[in-house]
Amino acid sequence: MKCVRCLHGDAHKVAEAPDGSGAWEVYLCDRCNYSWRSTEEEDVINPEKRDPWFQLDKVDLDTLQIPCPIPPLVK
Amino acid sequence: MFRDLREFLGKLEQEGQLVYFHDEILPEPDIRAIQRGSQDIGSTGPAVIIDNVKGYKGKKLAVNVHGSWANHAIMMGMDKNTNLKDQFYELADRWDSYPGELKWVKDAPCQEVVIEKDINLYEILPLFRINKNDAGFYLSKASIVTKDPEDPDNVDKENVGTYRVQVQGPDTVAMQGLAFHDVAIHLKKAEEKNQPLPIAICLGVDPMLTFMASTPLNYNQSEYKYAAAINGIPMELTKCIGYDLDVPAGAEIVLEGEIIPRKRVCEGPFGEFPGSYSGTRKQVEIKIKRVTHRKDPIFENLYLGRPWTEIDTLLGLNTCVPLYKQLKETMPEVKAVNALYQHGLTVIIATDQRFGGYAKSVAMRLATTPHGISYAKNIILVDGDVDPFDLNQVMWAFSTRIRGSQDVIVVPGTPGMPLDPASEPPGMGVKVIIDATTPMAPERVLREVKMVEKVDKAEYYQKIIADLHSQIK
Repeated sequence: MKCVRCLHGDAHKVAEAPDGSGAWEVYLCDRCNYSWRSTEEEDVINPEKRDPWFQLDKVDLDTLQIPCPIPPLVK
Repeated sequence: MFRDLREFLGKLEQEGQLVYFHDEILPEPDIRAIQRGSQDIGSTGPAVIIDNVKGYKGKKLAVNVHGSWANHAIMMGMDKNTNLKDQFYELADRWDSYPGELKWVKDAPCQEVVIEKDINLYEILPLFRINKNDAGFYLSKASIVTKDPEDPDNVDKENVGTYRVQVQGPDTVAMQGLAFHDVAIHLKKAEEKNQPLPIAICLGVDPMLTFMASTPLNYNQSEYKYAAAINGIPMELTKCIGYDLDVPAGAEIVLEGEIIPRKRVCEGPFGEFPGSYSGTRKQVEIKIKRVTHRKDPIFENLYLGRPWTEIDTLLGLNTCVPLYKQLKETMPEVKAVNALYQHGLTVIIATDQRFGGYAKSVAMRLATTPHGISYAKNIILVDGDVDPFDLNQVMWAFSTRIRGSQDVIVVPGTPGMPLDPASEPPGMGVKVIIDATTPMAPERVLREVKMVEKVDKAEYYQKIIADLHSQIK
C-alpha cells in the first residue's frame, strides 16, 4: 500500500478500532514511519491534497539530521 | 499535595475546574479542536475529560490539565485566583525544601493490569494526531524514566524527563532526546557499549511530577525528590516489572521497554513549543516489552502549537524558578525572573543594581546558566521594583528607560535552541540583551529624573475591591 507522505509502497494496516465498531483503521509506513487514520481530513490522508511542504517523496531519508549522534564504540 | 492524577482531577472538579465532554467525537480533528478551544479560554480554563471517542468507546482521555494559571495554582495547593507573581514566590520558597522523601510501595495501582502479549498501542491508548501535519500520533506529556548505566543505584541520577514520543508501530515508538538532555547522557553511555537502555514511559502521573519532569534541573538532581519536596508528601514509587527502574506507583499507564542501541529512525515533523513544526529527523527507537496500567486508565496528553498553549503554562514557572535561584546565588539583587515565553527563549529579569552597568552583568550571568546557554536569547532587564510578570510594567520600562545607543547589546555566534525557527543553523543563535533599568553611578546620567513612587497599601485595597466586585457578579 502506498504511503500518503513518501509515496513508497511500504504502508500497511496496523490497527482497527478496538471497540469492534469498525469506525476506522490505522495505517503505518515502514519506510518514513508516517501513520494515519482512515477517518482523517482529506488534506492529511490524500497525497493530492496534502501540503507539499510536508511530503517526503523527494527527500533522501538517509541524509536527515541526527540530533542525538551515535557515539563511537568503547571497549 | 496530590498523590496521583486522579486525586488532582478530583480536586479540580471540586473547584469547578474540570468538565466532562460526553458527546461522541472523532479522534481527528475533534480532540485537537477541543484541546485548542479549552486552552483558548485563558487563565481560568478547565481541564477536560473526554470519554466518548468513536472507535475508542470506554476509554478516557484527560486534556488541558495544566492548561490555566487557575489549575496551576490548585496544583500548588493555592487559591485558584492566586496571581502569577505570588505563585512564583511560593514555588521559589518550596524549592529550598529539596530533597523530599521517596517511598517504595508494593502492589502498585499502576500495575493492576499487565499486558505482555500482542501489545498494540494504537488500540490500548486513545491516540490522536495533535496537529494536522504531525507525522503521526504522539505522546506529548509522558514522564520518561532512565538510569545512568554506570551508576544505576544512584537515584539522584535517575532521570525523569518529558520528551516527545511518536508511536511508530504496535509496540514501537521513537523519541526525541536532544544532545543537551539528561537522557542523552544515559543513552551515550549505553550506546558506547552497544547496550540497550531500559526506559519507562509513564502517562498520567501526579501533576507536580509532570511539572518537575519538564524542569531544567541539574544532572544529579532528582525530579522525584523535587516533586516530593514541593508537594510536601513522599513520592510513592514502585519498580518496573521487567527493569530496575522506579516509576510513580499511581501512574495511569506505564510503557516498559528498551532503547535499541545505535539505531536512528525517521521521526517528525511535530508541532513544537515555539509554535512551528520541527523538521523530520532521525531519532532513537524504543521497543515496548510490556504495558502496565490502572483499571479504567485515564490517558493524559497535551496540546502544543501556536502559543499560548498548555505547554507554556506547564513550562512556565518551573523555568523561571531555577534561573532565579541560580542568579540569586551570586547576585542577591535579583528580585524575580519571568522566563514564561517559549521555555525561556525570552527572559525578563527584575533586578536592583549594585553599581552602574550591573544589570548587564546579570544578563551575562543568565546567559551562562545551564538552561540559559541554549535558550535565553532575548534577555530583558528591568528595575527591581518593576513586576516582570506584568507586561504593562515591562513595556513602561521599555518606553522610558532604554537608550538604544548603549542599552541594546547583540552577541552573535552563541549557542541556540534547535527548535527555535530563528536558530540558523539549528543549534546556533544570537543573544540580545536589552537593559531597561534606570542608569546609576558611576554611569553618567544625563538627566535627573525621579520616578513616581509606588502607592502604599494599594495591594491591600486591591484585594478588598476585588472581593467586593466578585460579590456582585
